[in-house]
Amino acid sequence: MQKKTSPINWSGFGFFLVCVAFVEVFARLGWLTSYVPPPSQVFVALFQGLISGDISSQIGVTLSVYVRGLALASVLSIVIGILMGTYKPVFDSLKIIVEFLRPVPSVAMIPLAILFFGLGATMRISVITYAAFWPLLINTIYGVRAIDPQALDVARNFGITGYEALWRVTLPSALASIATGFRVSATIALVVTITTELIAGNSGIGFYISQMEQANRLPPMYAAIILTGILGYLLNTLYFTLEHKVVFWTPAARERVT
Amino acid sequence: MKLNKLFNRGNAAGIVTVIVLLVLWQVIASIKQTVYVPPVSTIFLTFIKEWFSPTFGQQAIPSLYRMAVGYFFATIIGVTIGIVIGSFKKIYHLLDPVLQFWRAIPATAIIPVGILLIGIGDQMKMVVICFGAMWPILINTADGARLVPTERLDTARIFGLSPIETLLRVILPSAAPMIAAGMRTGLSIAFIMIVVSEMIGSTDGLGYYILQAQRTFAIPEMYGGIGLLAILGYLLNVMFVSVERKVLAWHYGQSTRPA
Amino acid sequence: MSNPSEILLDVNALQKRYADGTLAVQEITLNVREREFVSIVGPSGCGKTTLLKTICALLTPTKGSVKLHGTLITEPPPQMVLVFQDYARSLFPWLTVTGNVMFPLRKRKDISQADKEQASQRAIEAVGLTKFAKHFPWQLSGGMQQRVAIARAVAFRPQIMLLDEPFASVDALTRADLEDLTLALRDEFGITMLLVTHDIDEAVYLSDRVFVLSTPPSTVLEEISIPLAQPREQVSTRSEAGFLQLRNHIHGLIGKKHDDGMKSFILDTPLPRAVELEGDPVS
Repeated sequence: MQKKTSPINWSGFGFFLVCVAFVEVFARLGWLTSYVPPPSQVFVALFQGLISGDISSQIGVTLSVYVRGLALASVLSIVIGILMGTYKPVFDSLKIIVEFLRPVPSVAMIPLAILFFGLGATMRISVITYAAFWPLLINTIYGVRAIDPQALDVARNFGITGYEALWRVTLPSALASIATGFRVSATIALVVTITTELIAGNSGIGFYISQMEQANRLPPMYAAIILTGILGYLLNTLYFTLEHKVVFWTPAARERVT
Repeated sequence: MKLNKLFNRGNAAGIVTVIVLLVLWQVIASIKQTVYVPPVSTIFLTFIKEWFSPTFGQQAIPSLYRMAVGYFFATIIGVTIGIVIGSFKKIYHLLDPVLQFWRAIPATAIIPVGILLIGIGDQMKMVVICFGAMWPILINTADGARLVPTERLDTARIFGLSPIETLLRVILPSAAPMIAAGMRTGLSIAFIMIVVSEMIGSTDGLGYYILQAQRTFAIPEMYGGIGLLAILGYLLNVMFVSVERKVLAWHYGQSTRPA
Repeated sequence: MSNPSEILLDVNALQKRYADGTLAVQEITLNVREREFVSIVGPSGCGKTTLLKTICALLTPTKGSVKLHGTLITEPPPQMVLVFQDYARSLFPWLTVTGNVMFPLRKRKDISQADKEQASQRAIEAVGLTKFAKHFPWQLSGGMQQRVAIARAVAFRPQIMLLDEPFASVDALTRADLEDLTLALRDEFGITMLLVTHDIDEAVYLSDRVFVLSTPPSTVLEEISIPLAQPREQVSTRSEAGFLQLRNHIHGLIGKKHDDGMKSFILDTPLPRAVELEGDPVS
């Protein structure tokens, strides 16, 4: 009974291009502030920057820092999350700390990180780790706690206990929650990476943006900003696909489907 | 009454842990004197000295004020646009790529643009905060408006409600729970945006204060500032949740979510 | 039953084809007289909901017309109200029972606030929910929620009430109560009723006339008068000989059309084929 809509949103993209065209025309006519260059120049700058390596090298730096921070956050949060989710004493002890540290915006930690690590990759990685840690931690705890206690009993019946039980029973059941938490953490991590580079970086896309702004080289600046959007979009799509793949075969999701 | 709950058995372990850690911190910091990690007592005293003084009015109030204004406009704009695109499928399709484009850009990356276009001042921060906080509110409002059960919309038509009345009296209340969720996310984003914008382009405000404290090696002040941010963030969240629970009491009473 | 009363609702050669080409309603012609209780019965999926929504002008007919008091309907008219099957989705969870029932009156500027409150109170009383006036819909059971929906419709002071399988989502005991409630409302408020249902027994029990629909794309197979004793009573009416004959007749009608071999879920009793009505059992 649903009207068949084409999967590609032609009218939407058309509207988008029309908007860009308007900005182009207005910019060239000088109707817009000189701080908004014609989109064509931005596009050219993006292209040039990627080919010449100005921008592409920065992408590499950003991604390298990003991946390291995210990886560290993932390991820490999943381990601590499992511990907190499985053992009540651990949970009780750490609960209050979590509740108070969680709402602190990671950017507030930047000065602290600069103090300890100076300006550089380590500083940024520490901030990213701090930011990405919390969503994944919460989701891991939630996922572990939501496990059907019967599953563990059955496992024990078969002689599967302790470490093996953790690996073969707890972890797979909590996977759906963890996958979602990972996606949220990863998204936050990217934003925090770029933000940290903006505020106090010495390399990376964020740093590049701030440099271009100070040098009043606007097309490359806008190009880099748009690039962050593209990067975010691509990574987000990747994470959604991964999450979907994981959620699909987890027992919890299958229960819901049947 | 809340304090009573705080001291029950489950929380005892948590509080003990915190106290133990603080004591350890204090002991180690006092013995191994390093400028990087001052003793808890020093931080605490500095905190009291700084924030129960005019400094609060000079640094914290401007931050809160800018955040409030930016967040206010983010809500107005987000809900208005969200309701419209959520209620009219055609408009939603038309605007979708444009919205996806703007939404993908991290709000903090817009700050340099803001500085160029508006300069370093209150307006820039409010605009940037508004831009950042607007998106979750807009998206959630649109989703909420889209998901209003057709039976309710039909009922409104049967009872002769005009489109505006339907919007205000049926769509808006139906979408309220999702709007609230969006507003909660928007609030955390607004909080982040004010700190970042004050770190990049400002001469006052909490973000500036903390960064400046680090630069001038006023380390206890830096810790104190971070601590204040933590407290403010926590309070804002608590306030938001309590207001939300009151306004949406009808929603939280249900054990099952409405369709 | 003996006075021919005026035709209130006139549906003529109504057709509804959806934008994607599906023909939901092929050609339906029926009418409802004032204060009558008319049911529309048909197998699942024969477009009954589409039909009601088109009659109510929520959907635009592809062909044909709907007239109320001789006037063509293009927008949902104020004399008509529709009660949905899914009460949970049609009630407003942010309003109390009273709030929900008073909702349709907010447009009416000609009635004072005091009158509005009285009207809603009366409607709530009529459905037996006075004790729950300040409750929220989700605090009530399914049957009670449907009563709220009905009370809301009654408060609107309609001339005709359309009901879309209103009792399908409640249990059998509650259904009996709600059926009798609808009859009582018709008597107390003088509202004409047009009910759509897949439950043949219900249709025969409640109605003065029954229209039987075919499988989709639907047409009217037959218009049947139900001359059973008034007032209807759950046990006595359903044990009348005429009741069984009428219901079996309708079963047979609907069963006949299923020649693709698929048995409808309503064919639970063995069908006496080609049963004829034996005149009026009660004259």
